[in-house]
Amino acid sequence: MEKKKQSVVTNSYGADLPYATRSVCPECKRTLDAQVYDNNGKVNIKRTCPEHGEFDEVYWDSTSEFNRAKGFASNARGLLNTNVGITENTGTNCPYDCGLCTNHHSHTALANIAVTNRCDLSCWYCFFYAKEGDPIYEPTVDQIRNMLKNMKHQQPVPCNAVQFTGGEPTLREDMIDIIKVAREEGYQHVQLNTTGMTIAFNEGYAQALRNAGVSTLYVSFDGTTEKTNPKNLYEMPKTIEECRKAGLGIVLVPTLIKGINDGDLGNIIDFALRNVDVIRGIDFQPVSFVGRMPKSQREAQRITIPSAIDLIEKQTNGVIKPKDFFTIPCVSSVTNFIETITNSPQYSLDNHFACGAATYIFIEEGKVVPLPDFIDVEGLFKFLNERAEAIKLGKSKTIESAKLLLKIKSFINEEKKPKALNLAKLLFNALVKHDYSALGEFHKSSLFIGMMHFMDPYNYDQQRVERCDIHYAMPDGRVIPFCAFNVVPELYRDKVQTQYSVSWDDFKKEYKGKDSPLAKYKRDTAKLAEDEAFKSAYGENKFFKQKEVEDKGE
Amino acid sequence: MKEWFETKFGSAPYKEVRIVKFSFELPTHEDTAFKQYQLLLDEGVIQGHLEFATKKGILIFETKTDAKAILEKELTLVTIYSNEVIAYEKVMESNNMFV
Repeated sequence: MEKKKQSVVTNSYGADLPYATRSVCPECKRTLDAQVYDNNGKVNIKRTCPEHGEFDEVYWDSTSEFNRAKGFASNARGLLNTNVGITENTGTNCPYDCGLCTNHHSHTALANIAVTNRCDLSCWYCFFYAKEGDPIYEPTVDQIRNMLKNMKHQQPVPCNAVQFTGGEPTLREDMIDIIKVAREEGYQHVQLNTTGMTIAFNEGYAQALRNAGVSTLYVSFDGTTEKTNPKNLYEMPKTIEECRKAGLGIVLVPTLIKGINDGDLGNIIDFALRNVDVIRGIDFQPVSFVGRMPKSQREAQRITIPSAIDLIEKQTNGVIKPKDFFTIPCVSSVTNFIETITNSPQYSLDNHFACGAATYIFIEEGKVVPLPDFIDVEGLFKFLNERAEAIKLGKSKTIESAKLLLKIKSFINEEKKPKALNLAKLLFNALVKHDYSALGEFHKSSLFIGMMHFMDPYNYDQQRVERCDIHYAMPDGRVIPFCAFNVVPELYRDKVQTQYSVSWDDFKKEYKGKDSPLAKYKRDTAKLAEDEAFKSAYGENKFFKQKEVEDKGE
Repeated sequence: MKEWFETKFGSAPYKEVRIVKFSFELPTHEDTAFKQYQLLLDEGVIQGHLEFATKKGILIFETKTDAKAILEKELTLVTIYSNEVIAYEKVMESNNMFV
């Protein structure tokens, strides 16, 4: 797609270090020219505010890993129908022009819809929950339907995946109805972001969610000890049990904070593998800071994607290695190939290479095997790109597909691959026949390990926001990239949710729930500790030698 | 909460809004983006955009807000060339992709 305008940072995407981008002053939010550069083996981003001076922040902990990821930078297609509204925002004042504006590069891969600002927990690091007397933000089912319709009308690739988030979405009495509405509107993937408490203590609720159409639960889970996981250590085993009964998959979402839970990554992976029939994946999220924070404190707690991956290597005894992780846009070669074969735009993940990384691991005869141990991932992607380019230059699709069929086995190490997986057939069916039926089985027999590092005002890079593909739908019709929504909450999240909130008194009048609308969860530790599910949940590791959390792996 | 916000479930927060189009002077692109940010912080400003290249801006105000006073306070050499009240529905329609 021809872009209507080019941002000042667009042309530097994928360039060698150092390169120019734009950022904001964390103090006053003035937009500033910035530079991403190598700082003795680490990647930093720096800029100078005329009023508040220089801010120089670590961006990625490893220049070599940054450069490896950069090799997969892909060109995103952008949107044909941006929704800049009456104000005709052009994107020149990014990130204050959302959106999505004509300068945005990625369609929505996952739409977030906040359905409430109520929560039954009061976590110290979260500011997004209502207190007694505060306005309550709970868009109606009709408003939510409109947001879903809006995202579904993106062109050329309609949004197909939605995550309902909060607050705690399951506090809404009509959550099941909301999920059904998402399915009615044609969303194939419906994800619920939850602490899991409602599911743990309401028998049958997980089944009701599954029946309504929830594909996956996205459950915060910060560690396997009381120190690392004060939030839901005791409750998670019950949540898993309920999901096991319902056949509902879970993705664990640990927020990684240096000095808090950075010694627990291996244990979290081991815990997930021991429950791999329910837990489909782990999405580690290195912490992004809220509000102003002194540099010393940021340095004490900041962790970035390469360091998190190094910790995983150490804490899994070298089984899962840095080379096993690939940046998310690496899959664009697959999208590119399928688009070329089908002549139709496909769902793509063309976000910035620095946003995230992922791998898959399998259990084979009691041992953990990362996917790159038995697939030449880079070789396969390169080969797919070559075939796609050949077709674009006029070669026959049939012949190029036949080349893929003949070559595909050479990318697979049959001796090392899990025996139950017929990978060559699965890949050929998915890539050429577009038969994705076996992919479900692939996911069920593997554990996804991902990283997603959302930005904060200190490491904010406009180049990343321009390519963001995780977006928030707002009730006023605008669509906001995740990191703009949270780095500038005063213009998006807080402003619009205040506009669309009802007063506390009016909310209470309408509220039909059985508990108080702001009732907080009270843990009965002694009782939970006696629960069989808890007793068996956190014993000895099965796959990786037990690592003392207090050692932090450093 | 400001009194002008509707407090009924499912209703839009405004019935009508004031849309003001104007020209302005600011020295740099950065100053323009920063000024847009500062203007949008005002609870009376709903949406808006300042374009440095054309030196023109559009702001959508809540109708009880004194738009002229805000513009004259925040910007220099402001010339308002359009000032009309429209239904908020139209703002939502233009924001949405599917309408």
